[in-house]
Amino acid sequence: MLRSDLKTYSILISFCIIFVSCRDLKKNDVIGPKLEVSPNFKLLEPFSFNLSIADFQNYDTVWFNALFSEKAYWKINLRGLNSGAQTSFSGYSEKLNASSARWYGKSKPPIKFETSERVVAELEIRGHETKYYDTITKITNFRLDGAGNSLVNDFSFYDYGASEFFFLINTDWSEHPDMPLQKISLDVSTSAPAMSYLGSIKYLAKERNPSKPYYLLQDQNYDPKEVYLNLYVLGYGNGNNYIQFNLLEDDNNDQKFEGNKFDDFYIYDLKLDWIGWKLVSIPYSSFLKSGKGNGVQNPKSLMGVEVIFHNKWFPATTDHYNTSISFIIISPDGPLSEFSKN
Amino acid sequence: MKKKYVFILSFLFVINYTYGQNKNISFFGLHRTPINYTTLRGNAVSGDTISNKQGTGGFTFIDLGIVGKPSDKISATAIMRGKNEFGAFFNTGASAEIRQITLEGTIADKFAFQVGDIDIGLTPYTFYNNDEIYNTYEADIFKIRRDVVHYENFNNGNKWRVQGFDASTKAALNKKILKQISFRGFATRSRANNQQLPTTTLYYLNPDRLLVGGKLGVIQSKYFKTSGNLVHFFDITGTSLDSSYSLKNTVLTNDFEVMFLDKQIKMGLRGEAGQSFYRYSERYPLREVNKNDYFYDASLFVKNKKIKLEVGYRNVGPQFYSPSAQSLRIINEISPSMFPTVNMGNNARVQTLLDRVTDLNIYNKSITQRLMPFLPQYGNVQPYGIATPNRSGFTANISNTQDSLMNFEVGADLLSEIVGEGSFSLRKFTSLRAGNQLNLYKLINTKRIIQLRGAARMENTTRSGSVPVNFKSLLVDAGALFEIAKRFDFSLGYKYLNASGNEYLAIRDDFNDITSFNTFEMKSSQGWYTVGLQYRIANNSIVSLHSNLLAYQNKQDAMNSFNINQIFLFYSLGF
Repeated sequence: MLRSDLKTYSILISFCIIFVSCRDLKKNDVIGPKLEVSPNFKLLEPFSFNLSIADFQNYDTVWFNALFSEKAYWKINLRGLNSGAQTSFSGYSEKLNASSARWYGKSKPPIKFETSERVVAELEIRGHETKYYDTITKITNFRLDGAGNSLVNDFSFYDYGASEFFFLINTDWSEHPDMPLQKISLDVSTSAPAMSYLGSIKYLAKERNPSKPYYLLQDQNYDPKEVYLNLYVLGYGNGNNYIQFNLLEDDNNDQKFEGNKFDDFYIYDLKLDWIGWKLVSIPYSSFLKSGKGNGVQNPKSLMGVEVIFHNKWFPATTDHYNTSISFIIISPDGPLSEFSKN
Repeated sequence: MKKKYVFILSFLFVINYTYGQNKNISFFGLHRTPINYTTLRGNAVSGDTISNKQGTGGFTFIDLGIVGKPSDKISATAIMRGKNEFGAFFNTGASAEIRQITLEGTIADKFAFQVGDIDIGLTPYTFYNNDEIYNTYEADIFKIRRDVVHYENFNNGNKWRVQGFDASTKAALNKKILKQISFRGFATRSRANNQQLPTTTLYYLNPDRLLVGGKLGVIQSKYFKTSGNLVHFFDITGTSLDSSYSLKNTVLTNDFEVMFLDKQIKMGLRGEAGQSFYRYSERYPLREVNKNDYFYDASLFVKNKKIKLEVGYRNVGPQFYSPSAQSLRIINEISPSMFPTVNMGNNARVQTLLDRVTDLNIYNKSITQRLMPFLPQYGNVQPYGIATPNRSGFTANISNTQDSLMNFEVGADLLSEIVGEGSFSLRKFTSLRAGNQLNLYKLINTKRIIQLRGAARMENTTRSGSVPVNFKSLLVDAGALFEIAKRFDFSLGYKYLNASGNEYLAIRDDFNDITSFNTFEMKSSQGWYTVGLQYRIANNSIVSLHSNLLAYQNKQDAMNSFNINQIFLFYSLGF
């Protein structure tokens, strides 16, 4: 090889070495939240059930309590001492409370928990050897139409995987005056619209039918005039505040929403000009068409609902508006009727 | 619907008329008809009254290409598609669309250019559409299926289909210092703003996103060549009413090849090094993230006329982001379009080998800013190709250099993380692969093709410490092709994937920051058996009939095991 080649090459290599001398992370750094807890990890408050006896048929809701010395990945394994039925919950938090995980009596298929069975809960902390236990007596089976699962309990952004956003109500809500409204707060604190996305719609409200208590929306063709989006909304009497609902259809049935290519979405702007909680029922047929799908309202193709809280007149950055919504339910055969709440 | 047919007929008329008037017009086309009848059986759908368990599917299309070439300096190509989903004639499944429009030519015999729908690729660290899985030596019968999906999704080799322009020029200098210098530049729009959609503020948020870049190449002599590569991926703020976020990602690299010996035995050093500059900002809430990182990759190679050996070392930084080299070809987080659910609609069906080779709808056509989720059973060592961030270590590969009685390759990657993910302990990765094609017809000296193929890839991921990882997978390919009569082939194919162990899968936000980890545990195996007959009508035309059985066994949860049976009929005519 020519000497000049080597010289040229050396210059280029030197250039590259200078060029690549920048890396933000050092060898002892860690990317992402730490999976393991420190050796000093301990429970500041003991692990326990909130109840010692759970009667799910009477709408008992079971959760777990604990306070950790630091944020940790936890997993709770439940096991029926007679049936061997199991289920589990997991999360990443500094404490366990009603918002961490709730149990409504279900198990992973195929084995179900038995009535009047003792169930042991085992708390595992990732990276921590000690496990913690508590027990509960479960005296009745769960009921699908009970509390908890029927509520929208999470507005995870783009959480397509969640299947419990929409649930049947096949019961007369007035029977359960003690059931509190669980609310999801939406607020506008800057000029940006607050946006939340509700995941895939799976369950529909339908008449009471113990053998098949819920129906898949995708199962049959419903008349858009009979299909309603129902929910409770908390208004503060501010006539400039709106909630916009977008019903997203998957017209080309590819499991994706492509509003600018193949799919329709339907829009409804709800003006929040009242004070207090109010049940709102909006017929599918009153939503306005948008998107680039087949142009036909088809509840069977509904794959999601977007909820956007916004202020028509963008407020100053110091302003702050909020509202709450609850019990979002799609009903295929007319609007829901009011039920008692407190 | 009538408009579509009017459109097709008009197009055909224009072709006919134009051809009659002008001999500078030429045509080409492709007609394909894949049809399948598929059933789903097993525990996962036993007693299931909600999930679909059998179905037929298929479509027929014709792609008509017209090339107008008024001079030898310029040509325009348009490919129009008429397509019918089976069972949807004269109904909603029929469609007519323009599949490709490209203008290409040369200016002053110096500059070559392409405008429109073009395929672009640079280096594996800058602009590269990685293969979805190791498939070099898979059975021929699987390649037929894979080719259908690749064609539909514009997977032309390792290039990305984009819309824009690409121009290049080169100059032969014939001087002692520099033999040739070349330049290439391209600019594409990878995503249009969506402010034209009405009403909702939600859809005002996407600005135009462009991808521009180029390559400056220098060939000094047969002993040394090098080039500088640039890819810039960015949003144009202001092209939407509310530019709430903005991306700028620049990748700058240098690749080179130095030959030490160039005789019967050739020996040299080749490699690439570079840096990425990532900046992403959001206005609501106000947040801006800057991440810079680098990589280097160098390998020593020795080869003669028969065999090639390459040994290398690479280090790809944990925050090296190159979207056009790291975007995945398959969207892993969605269910297959065929039988998407099992267990009374309560569980999404997992993607199987069969889905990943045959499902058009799980393929990704766009370049994404964020590292996409991946499924470790299909590749955990380098899920984003060799540009996978946070990897360093040695690689080795041996292969034959020309087509012969036996084509083979053996390779190994011994890699490690550079920085821990969620733990101070680092993952160690081992990947071993071997593939072989035995051209028996050359051995027994017959004109009828007799070919055997086999391959295996073993991956192992481990991490010690208090959050251990131990994940293994084994991918096996086997196949045979017998030309039992002239142009008439009998084919066998087998794929097997076994995966077991645990992993922690990173969940990333829009800033590519890891916000949490999903615990991933798997113990499963799947075997795909296929047998088929194929008649090669001409070089680019075949008719083929396959019978497939895929057995998926979930060893953790038998209720999620299932079998897929499929009869597949395929007709392809190129002209």
